[in-house]
Amino acid sequence: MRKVTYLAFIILFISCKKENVNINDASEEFPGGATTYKSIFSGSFEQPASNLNNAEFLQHGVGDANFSAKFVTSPALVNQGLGPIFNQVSCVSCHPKNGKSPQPLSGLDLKGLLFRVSIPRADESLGPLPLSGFGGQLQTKASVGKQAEGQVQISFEENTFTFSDGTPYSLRKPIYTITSANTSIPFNMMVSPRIAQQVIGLGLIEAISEANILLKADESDENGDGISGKANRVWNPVSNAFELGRFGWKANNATLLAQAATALHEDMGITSYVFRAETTVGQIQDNGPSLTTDVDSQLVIDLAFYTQSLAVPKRRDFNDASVNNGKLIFFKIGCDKCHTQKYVTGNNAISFLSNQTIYPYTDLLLHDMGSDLADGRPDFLATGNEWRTPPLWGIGLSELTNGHTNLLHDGRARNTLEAIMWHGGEAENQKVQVKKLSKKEREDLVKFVNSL
Amino acid sequence: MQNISIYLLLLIVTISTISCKKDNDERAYGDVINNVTDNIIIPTYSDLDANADLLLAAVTALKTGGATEPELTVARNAWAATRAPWEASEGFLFGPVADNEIDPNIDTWPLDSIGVDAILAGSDVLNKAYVDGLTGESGTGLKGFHLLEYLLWSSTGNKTAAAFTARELDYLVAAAESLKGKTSELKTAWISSGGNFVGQLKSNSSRYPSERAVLVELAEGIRGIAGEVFDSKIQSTLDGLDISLNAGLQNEESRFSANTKTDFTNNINSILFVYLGRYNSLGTAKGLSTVVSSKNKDLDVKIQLQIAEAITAIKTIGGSASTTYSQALATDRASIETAQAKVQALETTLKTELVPLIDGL
Repeated sequence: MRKVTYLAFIILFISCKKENVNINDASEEFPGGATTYKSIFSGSFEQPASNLNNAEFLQHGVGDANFSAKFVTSPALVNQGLGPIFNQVSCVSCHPKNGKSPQPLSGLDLKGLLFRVSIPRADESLGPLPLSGFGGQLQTKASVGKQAEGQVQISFEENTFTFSDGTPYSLRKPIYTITSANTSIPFNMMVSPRIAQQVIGLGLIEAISEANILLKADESDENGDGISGKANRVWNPVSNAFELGRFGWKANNATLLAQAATALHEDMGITSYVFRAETTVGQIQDNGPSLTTDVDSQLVIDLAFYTQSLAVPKRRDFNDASVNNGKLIFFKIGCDKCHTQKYVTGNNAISFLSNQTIYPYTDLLLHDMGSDLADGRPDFLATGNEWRTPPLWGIGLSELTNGHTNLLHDGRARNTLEAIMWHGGEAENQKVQVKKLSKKEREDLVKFVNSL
Repeated sequence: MQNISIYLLLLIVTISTISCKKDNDERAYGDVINNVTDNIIIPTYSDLDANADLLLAAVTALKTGGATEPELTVARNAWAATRAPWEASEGFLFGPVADNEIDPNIDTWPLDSIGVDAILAGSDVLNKAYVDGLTGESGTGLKGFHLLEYLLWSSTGNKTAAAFTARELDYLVAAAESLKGKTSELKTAWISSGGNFVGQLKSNSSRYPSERAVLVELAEGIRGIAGEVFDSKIQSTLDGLDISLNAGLQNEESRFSANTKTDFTNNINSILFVYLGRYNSLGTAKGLSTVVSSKNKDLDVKIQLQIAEAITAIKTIGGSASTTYSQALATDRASIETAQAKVQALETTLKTELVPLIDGL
């Protein structure tokens, strides 16, 4: 009787013990350090960093208003400057609730998908060469009385594969065709589809020291792990210099200020102190140079500040046994070779971003992801096969924040597992290993990624 | 003896299983979630949809056989009646309303009045398909509540029935049909016999893996609209007023119809409904208040008081219920700032006390 009772208490004790497997690090409950927002809900990507002072909080609010403002055709008393040609009318049109855009299913409503265009040049490191009639991006909408540069048709091709355990899976490949072009399309035009990304934690990424990023670069794969990792060096139109690229699908923007000014200009047709000419420049319908810009410099600065000061939501399920099993698998397979788990940000002029321990799961470097994902369009040092490792924080919240789970550069992956199975090139080995996992292991891996 | 021991062992193992059961599997506040969804959220969307139908009928009557003043009055009232449940839904702007981009398609502000005037001056056939096709948000400044408001009242608010052109009437009916399509889509997406979004709240789902996740969503939802009213809707008019009265008025949403104070009141009403668990005559009074009062009675009293104070302050902007927000911008900025401060105080409580309490359940 006594023995049995002891046994029973032991069972009681063991079964209630919380799983707390820590791999390489702690719970990562606060992936954005002190900026982390502490409750999880559909607006989790829209929260100001938790460590802002009053003045910063107010500036964040001003940026927030501009980020959600719908711009309209000039002249108007409020939010003027849209167009004459553009892709969308506000920042949030592409980044709904500051999250990722879903893959559009038809060209009639492209949502947050746009197309960068260029023609080949001898030295691609100078940046994509814009082409006559299109510039560097296809603007698919126009103000009343103006003509869009073209439209896009989308069709899909389903390809089926099987995991080693016999379970089938299918990947959806979008095929894009530019139609109704305003001017003839040259035979050598290169097109890169890019979907709008989530905008959380960008200030922290900007605050990682350049040296820290370059530490991981291994361009000629000297450690022989099959993974190179290359830093992009891109033109910064604000500082007028070549700098380390950190933002965008090909690490094609150096700073958030440059990113904000470029998005205003290319995506919405809004001129500022950074880009003074409308994107119709060189087209018959261009209105000619203007002495004024659509918005003042403060608006661009406030927008950049808004993206710098958004919180990263806290991590969920870090005590869950299958999540932690998935974490073990993630590291064992070597996903972390590109999806670098952790950084400590440097001293930063923006104090709330300084010296934060963060878990973005990205090396911010370019990797060859194989021909199936390739856009074939170089972007500064990025080749047509290379993409920047995207951060994984917030990845599992997309369903809650945006009602979808689409991933990758044009949203083609319908969920996390599909995104993993699209990996190729330098990540071919990792994909093959995932293919060999058991059903339970696959599910745990996905659970872990979605807990971030 | 041996048998008893085994039974005891089994009993203890059973107890251990029960004691380790995740709180996810039990719904201590299921009645709150069921009441808020079934008696507040879905009826609000049902009212929105039913009233949008009446609005469509009213503008169709206005168009048919020449517009008359009585028809115009009916149409304006129908617009306001549709507007009310929409503004009272802004305390729960999650799920289909956001996922399916319903919000920008029916309530984009500011209106692209240049674009609207160009469409009116053009020759495009104005029907539901045309207005539906104003998509991707580039077209959303050309449709929805504020387009209807602009056509029914004009920018000066004093349009007469005789002033309506044929194209304005075509546009009005097409836009009302398009609005009705969206309100119907929204209601259908929620109800259990349709898209059943409600099912994702009533039991654990990938979106809401626990009842706590749902309650946090509800708490953050009402916190969010309080924030929107004081730091965006009201603040933008004050920012404008710093430049000029005209700029202040330009930022005033629903000013064509002089409905701004009613909009804001309904926004705070949506907080009241979710918090108290009652929507007009519906509801079992199981709301977030039920959760709060079981943990912190003082906080419950404070939130209820702050909601009431905010509503009163908004209603008396400009000194009386009959003074419009536009008039107050011109003559009584202090009353607007008083209302703003009351809403801000409420938001602060919701943010710093309600959300942490719910998140800590």
